Amino acid sequence: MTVLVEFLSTTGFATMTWGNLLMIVIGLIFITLAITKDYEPLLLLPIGFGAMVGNIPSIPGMALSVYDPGSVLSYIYFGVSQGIFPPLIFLGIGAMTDFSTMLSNPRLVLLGAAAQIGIFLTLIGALYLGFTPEEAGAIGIIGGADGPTAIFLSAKLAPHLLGAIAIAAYSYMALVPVIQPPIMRLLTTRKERLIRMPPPREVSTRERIFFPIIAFLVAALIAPGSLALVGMLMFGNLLKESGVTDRLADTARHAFIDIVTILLGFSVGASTQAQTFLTPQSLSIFGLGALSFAMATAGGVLFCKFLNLFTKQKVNPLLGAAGVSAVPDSARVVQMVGLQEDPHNHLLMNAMAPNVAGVIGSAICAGILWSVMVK
Amino acid sequence: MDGRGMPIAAAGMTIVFVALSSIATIISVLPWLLRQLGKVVPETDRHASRSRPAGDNDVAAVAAAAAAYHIHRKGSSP
Repeated sequence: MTVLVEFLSTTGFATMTWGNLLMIVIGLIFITLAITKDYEPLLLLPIGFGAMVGNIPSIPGMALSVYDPGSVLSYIYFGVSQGIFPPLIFLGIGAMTDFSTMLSNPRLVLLGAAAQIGIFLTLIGALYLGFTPEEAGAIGIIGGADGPTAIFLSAKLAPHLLGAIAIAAYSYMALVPVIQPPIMRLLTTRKERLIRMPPPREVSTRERIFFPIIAFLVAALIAPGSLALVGMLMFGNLLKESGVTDRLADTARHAFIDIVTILLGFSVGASTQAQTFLTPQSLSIFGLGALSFAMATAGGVLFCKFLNLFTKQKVNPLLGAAGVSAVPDSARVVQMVGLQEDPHNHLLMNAMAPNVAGVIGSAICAGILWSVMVK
Repeated sequence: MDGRGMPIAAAGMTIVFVALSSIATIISVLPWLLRQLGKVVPETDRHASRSRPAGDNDVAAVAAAAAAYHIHRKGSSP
């Protein structure tokens, strides 16, 4: 009987807190959103299930959670805590990204730079709210709208906020179709939204092969902190474009990225234990994250309008919203908003240019923040 | 570090713009550069032959050997 009572006292029912219960419910909401609404299912489903796993109370003395040294989950989480998974995800992204539209219209690259304003304005906001510079840098990167980059930088600068930052980044990435359109409409006139873009020109094989090499060298030399992310992104792209490593490129963009996504999503979810996740800081992070997405979108759109003041061939300012690196969601949003004004104005191909430039831009920002904050 | 938010933001945005502007500039001149390179080293369709399955190469090699043998026989016969 004593053994039975002792056993019952170690069950999850006995040690469960309201916080754990809330996090399990949040995990279930993520799973529901992924399945019923198709919101970033590849990430929200593993994160949601991971959140459930991470919030089953541990038994004292047993290594179970991601934070217990020697536990199975801690070994999986190692890839997150040491920033290993994000560059591997970037390898797969590089192997599936077609930079042709960007190569055919280089000035759209600048929109990818302008949208990064969200990162730095959020950094200022976070500092104002009392976060340390390292924490502020990690929170600011949410504005890059790039989950792996956010995880990479938080693992380096503020590991204790990693769960909240990752959840905020992926949640807002899933909400891109909700957050961006009102801002895009607010900041543009109907006449601007009707601007048609020329179709992208054909890009030669040589251009596509040279680009990842050149882009890597430029980005890594200017911001060496971005080496791991940009390096893997461009390496993956070279595998794709070289035409001689089809097998490697195929593995990188399918099986490889899928495996890493499963491990990353699940272990990030499992790191959201109520005791570390349900804090006032997390609420601030969610607030700042929403703000950073909005500012990034506004920054891209406004810069595009600014660019139009000086150029003869006008650019549809909706494309500026695609400067955030939620690929391809923000490009799709641009297409959707453009079609609402003119059912024959297809902006998707052109929007992919600032969108992929945004991926490079946010990785460079992560490198800059990392190098500035570690000093 | 406190009170350095604005300088970090300004420097950060400048660096991102410099990096992406550099990439954009290089992309702009890349077609011209590659045209010049093409005059020295013409672009060939080497990828197609490289990515051809090994089996195809074997068949081509056998066919070439058979043709060469046939020509050799014809040439050497009285």
